[in-house]
Amino acid sequence: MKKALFLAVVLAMVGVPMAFAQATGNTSIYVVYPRIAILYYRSSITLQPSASDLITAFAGGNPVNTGATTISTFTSGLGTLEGDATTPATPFSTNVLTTINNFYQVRANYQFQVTVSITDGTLQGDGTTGSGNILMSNVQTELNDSGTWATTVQQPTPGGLGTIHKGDVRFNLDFSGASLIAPNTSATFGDGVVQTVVAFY
Amino acid sequence: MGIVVAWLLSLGLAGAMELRLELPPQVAVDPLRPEELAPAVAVPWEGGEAPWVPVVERRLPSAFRVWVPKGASLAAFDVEARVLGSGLRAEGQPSRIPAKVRVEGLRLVASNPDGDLWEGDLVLSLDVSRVLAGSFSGTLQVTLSGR
Repeated sequence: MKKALFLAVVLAMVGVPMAFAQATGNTSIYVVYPRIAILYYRSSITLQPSASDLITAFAGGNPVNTGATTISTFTSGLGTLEGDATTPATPFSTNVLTTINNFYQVRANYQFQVTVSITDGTLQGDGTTGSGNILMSNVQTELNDSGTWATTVQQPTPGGLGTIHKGDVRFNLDFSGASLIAPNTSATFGDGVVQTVVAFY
Repeated sequence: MGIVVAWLLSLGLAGAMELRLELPPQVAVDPLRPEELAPAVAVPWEGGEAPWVPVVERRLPSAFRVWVPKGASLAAFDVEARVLGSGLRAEGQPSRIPAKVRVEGLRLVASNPDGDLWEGDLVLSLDVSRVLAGSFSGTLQVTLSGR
Protein backbone atom coordinates (compact mmCIF):
# COMPACT_ATOMS: atom_id res chain seq x y z
CA MET A 1 0.00 0.00 0.00
CA LYS A 2 2.87 2.33 0.81
CA LYS A 3 4.38 1.50 -2.53
CA ALA A 4 1.07 2.28 -4.23
CA LEU A 5 0.82 5.63 -2.45
CA PHE A 6 4.36 6.48 -3.47
CA LEU A 7 3.60 5.62 -7.06
CA ALA A 8 0.41 7.70 -6.91
CA VAL A 9 2.32 10.76 -5.76
CA VAL A 10 4.90 10.25 -8.50
CA LEU A 11 2.21 9.81 -11.16
CA ALA A 12 0.32 12.84 -9.91
CA MET A 13 3.43 14.99 -9.96
CA VAL A 14 4.26 13.81 -13.46
CA GLY A 15 0.77 14.81 -14.59
CA VAL A 16 0.70 18.21 -12.89
CA PRO A 17 2.83 20.25 -15.33
CA MET A 18 0.42 19.47 -18.15
CA ALA A 19 -2.55 20.54 -16.03
CA PHE A 20 -0.85 23.87 -15.23
CA ALA A 21 -0.35 24.92 -18.83
CA GLN A 22 -3.62 26.77 -19.35
CA ALA A 23 -7.15 27.02 -18.06
CA THR A 24 -10.03 28.76 -19.77
CA GLY A 25 -13.58 29.49 -18.65
CA ASN A 26 -16.52 31.14 -20.33
CA THR A 27 -19.57 32.83 -18.93
CA SER A 28 -22.61 34.24 -20.69
CA ILE A 29 -23.49 37.81 -19.90
CA TYR A 30 -26.77 39.67 -20.29
CA VAL A 31 -27.32 43.42 -20.25
CA VAL A 32 -30.58 45.34 -20.46
CA TYR A 33 -30.20 48.74 -22.04
CA PRO A 34 -33.38 50.72 -21.31
CA ARG A 35 -34.80 53.62 -23.25
CA ILE A 36 -32.88 56.77 -22.47
CA ALA A 37 -33.23 60.33 -23.69
CA ILE A 38 -31.09 63.23 -22.52
CA LEU A 39 -32.18 66.81 -23.11
CA TYR A 40 -29.58 69.55 -23.05
CA TYR A 41 -31.36 72.86 -22.60
CA ARG A 42 -30.45 76.46 -22.17
CA SER A 43 -31.43 77.80 -18.79
CA SER A 44 -31.21 81.42 -19.92
CA ILE A 45 -30.94 83.30 -23.17
CA THR A 46 -30.57 87.03 -23.70
CA LEU A 47 -31.46 88.51 -27.05
CA GLN A 48 -30.03 91.93 -27.74
CA PRO A 49 -31.07 93.01 -31.20
CA SER A 50 -29.88 96.45 -32.21
CA ALA A 51 -32.27 99.25 -33.18
CA SER A 52 -31.36 98.88 -36.81
CA ASP A 53 -31.94 95.14 -36.61
CA LEU A 54 -35.41 95.71 -35.20
CA ILE A 55 -36.21 98.34 -37.78
CA THR A 56 -35.22 95.88 -40.43
CA ALA A 57 -37.36 93.24 -38.81
CA PHE A 58 -40.39 95.49 -38.44
CA ALA A 59 -40.37 96.95 -41.87
CA GLY A 60 -37.35 95.78 -43.71
CA GLY A 61 -38.64 96.05 -47.24
CA ASN A 62 -42.06 96.18 -48.75
CA PRO A 63 -42.96 93.53 -49.66
CA VAL A 64 -40.95 91.75 -47.07
CA ASN A 65 -38.42 89.33 -48.37
CA THR A 66 -38.19 86.85 -45.57
CA GLY A 67 -35.00 85.38 -46.93
CA ALA A 68 -33.21 88.70 -47.08
CA THR A 69 -34.45 90.38 -43.96
CA THR A 70 -32.58 88.22 -41.58
CA ILE A 71 -31.16 89.95 -38.60
CA SER A 72 -27.57 88.99 -38.90
CA THR A 73 -26.81 87.82 -35.42
CA PHE A 74 -28.28 88.23 -32.03
CA THR A 75 -25.75 88.91 -29.37
CA SER A 76 -26.29 86.29 -26.76
CA GLY A 77 -25.20 86.29 -23.19
CA LEU A 78 -24.68 82.54 -23.32
CA GLY A 79 -22.85 80.42 -25.80
CA THR A 80 -22.75 81.26 -29.43
CA LEU A 81 -26.31 81.55 -30.46
CA GLU A 82 -27.16 82.23 -34.00
CA GLY A 83 -30.40 84.03 -34.30
CA ASP A 84 -32.51 85.52 -36.96
CA ALA A 85 -35.69 87.50 -36.92
CA THR A 86 -37.80 88.01 -39.94
CA THR A 87 -41.06 89.78 -40.33
CA PRO A 88 -44.05 87.76 -41.37
CA ALA A 89 -45.50 88.41 -44.78
CA THR A 90 -47.46 91.45 -43.69
CA PRO A 91 -45.15 94.47 -43.65
CA PHE A 92 -44.97 96.67 -40.56
CA SER A 93 -46.38 93.95 -38.34
CA THR A 94 -45.44 94.29 -34.74
CA ASN A 95 -44.86 90.54 -34.57
CA VAL A 96 -41.29 89.68 -35.21
CA LEU A 97 -40.71 86.03 -35.99
CA THR A 98 -37.64 85.19 -33.99
CA THR A 99 -35.63 82.05 -34.61
CA ILE A 100 -33.05 80.72 -32.20
CA ASN A 101 -30.88 78.02 -33.66
CA ASN A 102 -29.40 75.32 -31.47
CA PHE A 103 -31.86 76.11 -28.71
CA TYR A 104 -31.61 72.57 -27.32
CA GLN A 105 -30.00 69.23 -28.10
CA VAL A 106 -31.17 65.68 -27.56
CA ARG A 107 -29.43 62.33 -27.33
CA ALA A 108 -31.67 59.26 -27.36
CA ASN A 109 -31.58 55.53 -27.95
CA TYR A 110 -35.25 55.22 -28.86
CA GLN A 111 -37.56 57.17 -31.14
CA PHE A 112 -38.60 60.37 -29.45
CA GLN A 113 -40.57 63.57 -29.87
CA VAL A 114 -40.00 67.11 -28.70
CA THR A 115 -42.79 69.46 -27.71
CA VAL A 116 -42.26 73.15 -27.10
CA SER A 117 -44.62 75.53 -25.38
CA ILE A 118 -44.61 79.01 -23.93
CA THR A 119 -45.31 78.73 -20.24
CA ASP A 120 -44.75 82.43 -19.60
CA GLY A 121 -45.11 84.55 -22.71
CA THR A 122 -44.95 87.99 -21.16
CA LEU A 123 -41.60 89.71 -21.13
CA GLN A 124 -42.09 92.45 -18.57
CA GLY A 125 -40.28 95.73 -18.73
CA ASP A 126 -38.01 96.24 -15.76
CA GLY A 127 -39.75 99.54 -14.84
CA THR A 128 -36.51 101.45 -14.99
CA THR A 129 -35.50 101.24 -18.60
CA GLY A 130 -38.63 99.80 -20.16
CA SER A 131 -42.34 99.75 -19.49
CA GLY A 132 -45.14 97.54 -20.72
CA ASN A 133 -44.25 94.19 -22.13
CA ILE A 134 -43.24 92.16 -25.12
CA LEU A 135 -45.50 89.21 -25.84
CA MET A 136 -44.31 85.85 -27.05
CA SER A 137 -46.59 83.60 -29.09
CA ASN A 138 -46.79 80.79 -31.60
CA VAL A 139 -43.70 78.84 -30.58
CA GLN A 140 -42.56 76.06 -32.88
CA THR A 141 -39.54 73.82 -33.21
CA GLU A 142 -37.64 71.86 -35.83
CA LEU A 143 -35.06 69.10 -35.50
CA ASN A 144 -31.80 68.87 -37.39
CA ASP A 145 -32.65 71.70 -39.80
CA SER A 146 -35.42 69.56 -41.29
CA GLY A 147 -37.49 72.58 -42.27
CA THR A 148 -40.56 71.02 -40.66
CA TRP A 149 -41.80 73.35 -37.95
CA ALA A 150 -44.46 72.39 -35.42
CA THR A 151 -45.14 72.50 -31.70
CA THR A 152 -44.32 68.76 -31.62
CA VAL A 153 -41.76 67.15 -33.89
CA GLN A 154 -40.72 63.52 -33.98
CA GLN A 155 -37.46 61.71 -34.58
CA PRO A 156 -37.98 58.09 -35.70
CA THR A 157 -34.27 57.34 -36.19
CA PRO A 158 -32.50 58.46 -33.02
CA GLY A 159 -29.24 56.66 -33.86
CA GLY A 160 -28.13 56.05 -30.26
CA LEU A 161 -26.75 58.33 -27.58
CA GLY A 162 -23.72 59.12 -29.69
CA THR A 163 -25.89 61.07 -32.09
CA ILE A 164 -26.76 64.67 -31.30
CA HIS A 165 -30.06 66.04 -32.51
CA LYS A 166 -30.07 69.80 -32.75
CA GLY A 167 -33.29 71.65 -32.04
CA ASP A 168 -34.21 75.15 -33.19
CA VAL A 169 -37.16 77.16 -31.93
CA ARG A 170 -39.00 80.11 -33.32
CA PHE A 171 -41.73 82.31 -31.92
CA ASN A 172 -43.36 85.67 -32.49
CA LEU A 173 -42.42 88.68 -30.44
CA ASP A 174 -45.02 91.43 -30.28
CA PHE A 175 -43.34 94.70 -29.41
CA SER A 176 -46.45 96.88 -29.71
CA GLY A 177 -46.99 97.11 -25.94
CA ALA A 178 -43.39 97.92 -25.08
CA SER A 179 -41.78 101.30 -24.70
CA LEU A 180 -38.59 102.82 -23.41
CA ILE A 181 -38.47 105.02 -20.36
CA ALA A 182 -36.62 108.24 -21.08
CA PRO A 183 -33.77 109.00 -21.13
CA ASN A 184 -32.72 105.39 -21.67
CA THR A 185 -31.71 104.40 -25.17
CA SER A 186 -32.44 100.73 -24.64
CA ALA A 187 -34.64 98.74 -22.30
CA THR A 188 -34.71 95.35 -20.69
CA PHE A 189 -37.70 93.04 -20.82
CA GLY A 190 -37.53 89.64 -19.31
CA ASP A 191 -38.63 86.42 -17.70
CA GLY A 192 -40.46 84.72 -20.51
CA VAL A 193 -40.28 80.94 -20.42
CA VAL A 194 -40.19 78.44 -23.26
CA GLN A 195 -40.57 74.87 -22.08
CA THR A 196 -39.05 71.95 -23.99
CA VAL A 197 -40.29 68.43 -23.30
CA VAL A 198 -38.79 65.22 -24.70
CA ALA A 199 -40.81 62.00 -24.65
CA PHE A 200 -40.69 58.60 -26.32
CA TYR A 201 -43.41 57.63 -28.71
CA MET B 1 -2.90 -4.57 -8.17
CA GLY B 2 -0.52 -2.09 -6.56
CA ILE B 3 -0.09 -0.27 -9.84
CA VAL B 4 -3.85 0.07 -10.30
CA VAL B 5 -4.32 1.42 -6.79
CA ALA B 6 -1.48 3.85 -7.35
CA TRP B 7 -3.02 5.03 -10.60
CA LEU B 8 -6.42 5.55 -9.00
CA LEU B 9 -4.85 7.41 -6.10
CA SER B 10 -2.82 9.50 -8.50
CA LEU B 11 -6.00 10.60 -10.26
CA GLY B 12 -7.36 11.80 -6.95
CA LEU B 13 -4.16 13.58 -6.03
CA ALA B 14 -3.81 15.09 -9.49
CA GLY B 15 -7.35 16.38 -9.18
CA ALA B 16 -6.46 18.05 -5.94
CA MET B 17 -3.27 19.46 -7.45
CA GLU B 18 -4.88 20.65 -10.65
CA LEU B 19 -5.21 24.33 -11.38
CA ARG B 20 -8.92 25.11 -11.53
CA LEU B 21 -10.74 28.12 -12.94
CA GLU B 22 -14.37 28.60 -11.96
CA LEU B 23 -16.88 30.99 -13.51
CA PRO B 24 -20.65 31.09 -13.21
CA PRO B 25 -22.40 29.85 -16.37
CA GLN B 26 -24.14 33.19 -16.78
CA VAL B 27 -24.20 36.69 -15.31
CA ALA B 28 -26.92 39.31 -15.57
CA VAL B 29 -25.51 42.81 -15.38
CA ASP B 30 -27.61 45.50 -13.71
CA PRO B 31 -29.53 47.53 -16.30
CA LEU B 32 -27.76 50.65 -17.45
CA ARG B 33 -29.11 53.84 -15.90
CA PRO B 34 -29.44 57.31 -17.45
CA GLU B 35 -27.44 58.87 -14.62
CA GLU B 36 -24.44 56.81 -15.67
CA LEU B 37 -24.49 58.58 -19.01
CA ALA B 38 -25.38 62.13 -18.01
CA PRO B 39 -25.87 64.07 -14.76
CA ALA B 40 -29.63 64.03 -15.37
CA VAL B 41 -32.12 63.44 -18.15
CA ALA B 42 -32.41 67.22 -18.49
CA VAL B 43 -29.07 68.99 -18.37
CA PRO B 44 -28.55 72.78 -18.35
CA TRP B 45 -26.20 73.55 -21.15
CA GLU B 46 -24.58 76.69 -22.47
CA GLY B 47 -24.41 76.00 -26.15
CA GLY B 48 -21.92 74.34 -28.43
CA GLU B 49 -21.85 70.58 -28.72
CA ALA B 50 -23.45 68.69 -25.86
CA PRO B 51 -21.04 66.72 -23.66
CA TRP B 52 -19.92 63.34 -24.96
CA VAL B 53 -21.56 60.24 -23.53
CA PRO B 54 -19.07 58.26 -21.45
CA VAL B 55 -18.28 54.57 -21.70
CA VAL B 56 -20.20 52.74 -18.99
CA GLU B 57 -18.35 50.42 -16.65
CA ARG B 58 -19.80 47.55 -14.68
CA ARG B 59 -17.83 45.73 -12.02
CA LEU B 60 -18.71 42.08 -11.62
CA PRO B 61 -17.47 41.35 -8.10
CA SER B 62 -16.10 37.88 -7.40
CA ALA B 63 -16.74 36.97 -11.02
CA PHE B 64 -14.30 34.08 -11.03
CA ARG B 65 -12.18 31.93 -8.74
CA VAL B 66 -8.90 30.16 -9.24
CA TRP B 67 -7.72 27.18 -7.27
CA VAL B 68 -3.94 27.04 -7.17
CA PRO B 69 -2.56 23.79 -5.75
CA LYS B 70 0.32 23.70 -3.37
CA GLY B 71 3.62 23.91 -5.18
CA ALA B 72 2.31 26.29 -7.80
CA SER B 73 2.03 30.06 -7.66
CA LEU B 74 -0.51 32.31 -9.28
CA ALA B 75 2.35 34.69 -10.02
CA ALA B 76 3.51 32.16 -12.60
CA PHE B 77 0.35 32.72 -14.63
CA ASP B 78 -1.17 35.47 -16.70
CA VAL B 79 -4.82 36.01 -15.93
CA GLU B 80 -6.60 37.61 -18.84
CA ALA B 81 -10.19 38.28 -19.78
CA ARG B 82 -11.83 39.18 -23.05
CA VAL B 83 -15.23 39.54 -24.63
CA LEU B 84 -15.70 37.01 -27.38
CA GLY B 85 -16.83 38.56 -30.64
CA SER B 86 -15.71 42.00 -29.44
CA GLY B 87 -19.07 42.88 -28.01
CA LEU B 88 -22.58 42.13 -26.88
CA ARG B 89 -25.20 41.47 -29.51
CA ALA B 90 -28.80 42.54 -29.50
CA GLU B 91 -31.40 39.83 -29.57
CA GLY B 92 -32.90 39.78 -33.04
CA GLN B 93 -30.94 42.81 -34.21
CA PRO B 94 -27.65 43.32 -36.02
CA SER B 95 -26.51 46.02 -33.58
CA ARG B 96 -23.70 45.36 -31.15
CA ILE B 97 -22.36 47.07 -28.03
CA PRO B 98 -18.58 47.22 -28.31
CA ALA B 99 -17.30 45.86 -25.03
CA LYS B 100 -14.03 45.21 -23.26
CA VAL B 101 -13.33 43.44 -20.03
CA ARG B 102 -10.39 43.45 -17.67
CA VAL B 103 -9.38 41.62 -14.52
CA GLU B 104 -9.10 43.55 -11.29
CA GLY B 105 -8.72 42.87 -7.60
CA LEU B 106 -7.20 39.42 -7.60
CA ARG B 107 -7.13 38.41 -3.95
CA LEU B 108 -6.46 35.38 -1.82
CA VAL B 109 -9.66 34.29 -0.13
CA ALA B 110 -8.73 30.92 1.35
CA SER B 111 -5.70 28.81 1.94
CA ASN B 112 -5.17 25.26 3.17
CA PRO B 113 -2.38 22.68 2.99
CA ASP B 114 -3.58 21.60 -0.47
CA GLY B 115 -3.41 25.04 -2.05
CA ASP B 116 -4.79 28.56 -2.31
CA LEU B 117 -8.12 29.86 -3.50
CA TRP B 118 -8.03 33.19 -5.32
CA GLU B 119 -10.88 35.37 -6.39
CA GLY B 120 -11.06 38.17 -8.95
CA ASP B 121 -13.44 40.81 -10.27
CA LEU B 122 -14.19 41.55 -13.89
CA VAL B 123 -14.75 45.10 -15.04
CA LEU B 124 -16.84 45.40 -18.14
CA SER B 125 -16.63 48.53 -20.32
CA LEU B 126 -19.59 49.17 -22.61
CA ASP B 127 -19.72 51.73 -25.39
CA VAL B 128 -23.43 52.29 -25.90
CA SER B 129 -23.11 55.35 -28.11
CA ARG B 130 -24.22 53.65 -31.33
CA VAL B 131 -26.94 51.25 -30.26
CA LEU B 132 -30.63 51.52 -29.57
CA ALA B 133 -32.39 50.31 -26.45
CA GLY B 134 -32.76 46.57 -26.07
CA SER B 135 -31.41 43.39 -24.52
CA PHE B 136 -27.86 42.36 -25.30
CA SER B 137 -25.85 39.24 -24.60
CA GLY B 138 -22.36 37.94 -25.12
CA THR B 139 -19.65 35.73 -23.72
CA LEU B 140 -16.83 36.61 -21.37
CA GLN B 141 -13.78 34.43 -21.36
CA VAL B 142 -11.13 34.22 -18.64
CA THR B 143 -7.85 32.51 -19.40
CA LEU B 144 -4.97 31.50 -17.16
CA SER B 145 -1.82 30.73 -19.04
CA GLY B 146 1.64 29.91 -17.83
CA ARG B 147 4.27 32.56 -18.28
